Amino acid sequence: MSEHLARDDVAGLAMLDAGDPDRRAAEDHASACAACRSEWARAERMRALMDGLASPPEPSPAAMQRARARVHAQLESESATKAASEPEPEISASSAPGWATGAAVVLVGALGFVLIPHQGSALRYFVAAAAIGVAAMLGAIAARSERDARLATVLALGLSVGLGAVDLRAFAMEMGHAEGCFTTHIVASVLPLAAALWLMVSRRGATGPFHTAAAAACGAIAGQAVLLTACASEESFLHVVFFHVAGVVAAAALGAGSGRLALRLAR
Amino acid sequence: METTPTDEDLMRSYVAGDGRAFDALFDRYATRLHAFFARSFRSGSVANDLVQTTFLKIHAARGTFDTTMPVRPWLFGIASRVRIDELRRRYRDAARASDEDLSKMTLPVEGGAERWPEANEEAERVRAAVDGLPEGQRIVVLLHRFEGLTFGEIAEVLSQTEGTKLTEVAVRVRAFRAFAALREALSDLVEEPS
Repeated sequence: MSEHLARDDVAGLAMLDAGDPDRRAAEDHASACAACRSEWARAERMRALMDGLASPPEPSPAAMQRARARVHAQLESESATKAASEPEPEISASSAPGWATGAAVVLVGALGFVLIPHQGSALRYFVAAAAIGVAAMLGAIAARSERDARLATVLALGLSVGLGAVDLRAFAMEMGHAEGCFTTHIVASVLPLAAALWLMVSRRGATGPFHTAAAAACGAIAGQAVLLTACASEESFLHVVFFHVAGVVAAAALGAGSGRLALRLAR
Repeated sequence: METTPTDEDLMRSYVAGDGRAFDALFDRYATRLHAFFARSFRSGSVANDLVQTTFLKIHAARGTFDTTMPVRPWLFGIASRVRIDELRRRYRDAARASDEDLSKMTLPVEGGAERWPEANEEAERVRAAVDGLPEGQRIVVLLHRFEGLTFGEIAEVLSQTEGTKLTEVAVRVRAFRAFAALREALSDLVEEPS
């Protein structure tokens, strides 16, 4: 910059950032021009005076907390309104493989008969097979919507109690042999639960924790059905409650917890 | 290595309903907005109220935020509108005060104990000179000198509050006029000691 600094511009130029090319050019010119040097020095002094102004007081923490809380309250209210107004997602059987959970239940039942030594009357096998079929159906229904999943979970728990009652004799109170019965239910729930979790993630969380709870419970029922032909303590009330029905309930709880976690990831 | 999300990342999450993203934006801007209002009205309690009003307006308007645009000028644009509303409220003849009238008016600052003291009489004079600028120039000085916004960002802010598209050059001209006016008002303070 070879021209003298315009008096009206000097203050503005001095207020620009240190790296601004216009400011640097003005500074360079002022350092070499006696006529402009003093004007530049005044502008610099004004900049220093402005930089020296006191900072405003800090905001009141209580006031800031109130402001933050009011927006959060609105966010929560909007979220609740949105959830209430949105129809529960219904997923047609053709648009998503809801039968995957049911197929997993049948597969678990079949594997159970292959892997666990069993014996019994034809009626017992028939009841076991029918229970696996119903559980598979409930597993498939649970994949349709969260409302259906809730119903399927309740029906699965009822089915478990019904299966447990098949062999009860006069409410015998012995605990009997655990023989891995409880574990069998949990292990049997894994494959249908995995199928339900896969469905949930692939549908980006269109169903919820009841879907996975129902799937796990139905898997556990397949295990319970197999045990109908394999467990030596099926006649004991306490054994049935603590190792069979409780196994199905625990599987449902495991499914609900896994579903909740998967839902967070999916959504 | 975890990178710090930009304002724009946070705003996108907030618009989608993420309360934690709102918290992060609030943490970044609440104190700055408070300072902006406190400098405007010389009152901490007024600034507290206006920060709350601003964030509620931001919340209400977040659906209109253009996610391809920078957040800072948008936030300060809303804050500037809140500031203008407060200015209008303070003028007796608020209903008849046009934008042009407002742009020429000096600041009706809060008086009394809440005015935090400047370090000395010189600083008080500088503060009074800034307060005495016409609104159209004062807002540019506040945003540029104290809030660190660029002339381009101020142009975005003022385009929101004044309703006409302003260019960066127009803001720069306005800023230079303001600083020249301050230079004249404070001429005795900036003279080199003889």
